[in-house]
Amino acid sequence: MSLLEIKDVHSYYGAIHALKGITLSVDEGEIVTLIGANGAGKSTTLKTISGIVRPRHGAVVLAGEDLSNVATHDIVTKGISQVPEGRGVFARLTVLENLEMGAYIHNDNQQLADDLARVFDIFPRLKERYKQAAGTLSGGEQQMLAMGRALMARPKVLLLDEPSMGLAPLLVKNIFETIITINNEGTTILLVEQNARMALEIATRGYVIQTGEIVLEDDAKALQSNEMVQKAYLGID
Amino acid sequence: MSLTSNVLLYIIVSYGLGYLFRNLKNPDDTPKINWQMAGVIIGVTCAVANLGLALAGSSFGGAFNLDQPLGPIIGNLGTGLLIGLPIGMIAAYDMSKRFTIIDAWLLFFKIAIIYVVIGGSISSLAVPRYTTEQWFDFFIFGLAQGGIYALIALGYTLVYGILFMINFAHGEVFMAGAFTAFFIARRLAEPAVEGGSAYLDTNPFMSLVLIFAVSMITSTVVAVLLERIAYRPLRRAPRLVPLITAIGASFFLQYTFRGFYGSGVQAYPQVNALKGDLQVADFMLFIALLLIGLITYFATTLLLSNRLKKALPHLGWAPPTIIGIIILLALYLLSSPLQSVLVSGANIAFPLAPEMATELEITTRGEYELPISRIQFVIITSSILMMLGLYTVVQRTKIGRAMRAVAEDKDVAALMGVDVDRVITMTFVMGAMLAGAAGVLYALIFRQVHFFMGFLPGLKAFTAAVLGGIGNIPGAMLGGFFLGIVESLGPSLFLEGLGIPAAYQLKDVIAFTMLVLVLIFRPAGIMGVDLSKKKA
Repeated sequence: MSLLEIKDVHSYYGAIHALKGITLSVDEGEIVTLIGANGAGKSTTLKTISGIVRPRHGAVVLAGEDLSNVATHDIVTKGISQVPEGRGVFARLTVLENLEMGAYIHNDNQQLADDLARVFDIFPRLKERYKQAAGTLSGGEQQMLAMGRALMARPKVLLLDEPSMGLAPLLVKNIFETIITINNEGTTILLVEQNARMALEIATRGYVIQTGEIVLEDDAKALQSNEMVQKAYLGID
Repeated sequence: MSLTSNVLLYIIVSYGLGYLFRNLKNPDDTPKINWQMAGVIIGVTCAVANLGLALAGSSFGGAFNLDQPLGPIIGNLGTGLLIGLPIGMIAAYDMSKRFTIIDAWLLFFKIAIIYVVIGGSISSLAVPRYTTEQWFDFFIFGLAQGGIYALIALGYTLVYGILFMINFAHGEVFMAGAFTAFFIARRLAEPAVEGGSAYLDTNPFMSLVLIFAVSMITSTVVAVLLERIAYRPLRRAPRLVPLITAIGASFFLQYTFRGFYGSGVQAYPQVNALKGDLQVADFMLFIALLLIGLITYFATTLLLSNRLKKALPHLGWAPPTIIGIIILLALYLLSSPLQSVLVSGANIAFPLAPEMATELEITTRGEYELPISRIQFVIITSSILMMLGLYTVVQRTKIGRAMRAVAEDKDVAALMGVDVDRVITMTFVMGAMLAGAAGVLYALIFRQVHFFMGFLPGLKAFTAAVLGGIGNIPGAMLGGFFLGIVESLGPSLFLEGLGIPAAYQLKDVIAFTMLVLVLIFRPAGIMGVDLSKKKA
């Protein structure tokens, strides 16, 4: 059985039909990527999973439990953590406070210390700047902070929304290496990306989304050699 | 030299200096000294020059009818400043910049305010209308009143910080607490001959704790209901809608409480323990208890907090509660024995000279009176302590961190597992508790309550919050004290000197003029961040 399943989900923004029956699944330990163009519904899919957008039809199921009626702030306690698009760090809180916000659902101080040590281990830069206001960090550091903050909740599934957005190529490489590290430590990852080349390189499987519908689903390697994907997302003629 | 020729001289000098400053430019064609600064420099130059001339014998102290020794000096300095400052500003202003009719009006407005403030202050101080002791009294009264404004202003600022909405019914939350607590206070004050207990006189400390508790609880209940019924359903509505609702809720609460308690003005009972001036012994006791409080605070947080959290992770609220209870117990049990120990200690260390004792009609050192009344001292210290408490909660605790996170981004905070609705309710609770406490303090100093009492303090506190930068917690504290002091000193300092009769009745004019000035010249407030830079 898959860890996370999305079954025929329809989501709306007012009258706009943003997701038209999305079905996808993520197995434990996988990195699954969802690629697609601007406005295809990638972010909406993630928002629907974490409960910011409510599906009008269909279900989000985590380890057999239907999340459709779970409040947004309780979904994180079930084991889903999201790194929102544009990072969404709390600019006026310090780096440490941002990380503590990530562990909001936990109350054990010892565990908090362990998790902090783990995050600082993965992102040494954050340790150097833990007293600084998050708004003063560079874009790459903010991305690290957003990911570290999501890890503080000890998620089963980590949802990443465009981690490469607005970052220099070297930093993108860095971030993707970190994603692999996090995955190797046992966190399942659902990665939404416009940078299809990088995403397919590290993913086990991939989905292609177009105007609210899944049009392709395959192993990452197979998608890389798929003619349609090459043309539309990898820039190969 | 006659007055006219003197004035003409300064006009020419300041215009020339202003022209010079305007043409002193950096390589990138920006002026080296901006026009406001240039105005100040020229004003000071003229003032010094005028004083020099005056002292050299060519005095025109006749402009002000001054006979005190300090008078001519201040008068001459002030005259020079008054002529030099505005003319210098105008001359140093770079006219080649876009200069619209609005800029001209604002410039005129600034100069007019400077004239009123400086001119008024100088002529008030030059002819000493009040003694130093009286000015100090005004200042202390301003501080006490400012503390009350600051406590209410925090409620506006907390809610605005999270919901971006001005809760205009907050003044009524303040009224609800004070008015309800009045009935408890009256019952407690009933003397024995009328079948009462006179508990307020025999046991003032516990009575005050009870009055505060009733007021704070009432305010909290009103604020929570207000949020639940009137504001929560409108969370997603355009911003103007909750604002109008708040005004409606304000009237609703006023007339509901009028229905409950009647439309008359009720006199709050006098707390005899808070009568009179603060004595040295009281002050020593306060310092001693403050030390006990601080020691308890550090001991609990350092020793207990971490162990408690480890053993019982859900008891994050326990350390502050323990500190609070210990401090209250210490106040109740220790105050009288501690005071007698302190007084006898002081008497042994600094024996009282018999002449001084008879002159001041006191028997111990402890009875020496400080120039501040007990009630004002209580208001100032308790408001400062409550503000520090709130600041600690917002900066140090988990709920405070969640509040700041929700203020920045509600969706992301929810992703972290924060129950946004609960945090918003907590924000209203904190604001209401401070307003309830402020209500009792207000009733203690002004000694009357009525259903309309929340209106003016509410508006003033709103002004204070805007003054400090709305949404900013230290700003609201600073704005409250600042407004209180200006309102208390202002009429005597700025207006009486200009010969305005019954200036004290114009204190509200000063308060709201400050609101207008802040909105024109510094819309983000004293401590506020420029909104255009905030999102960076």
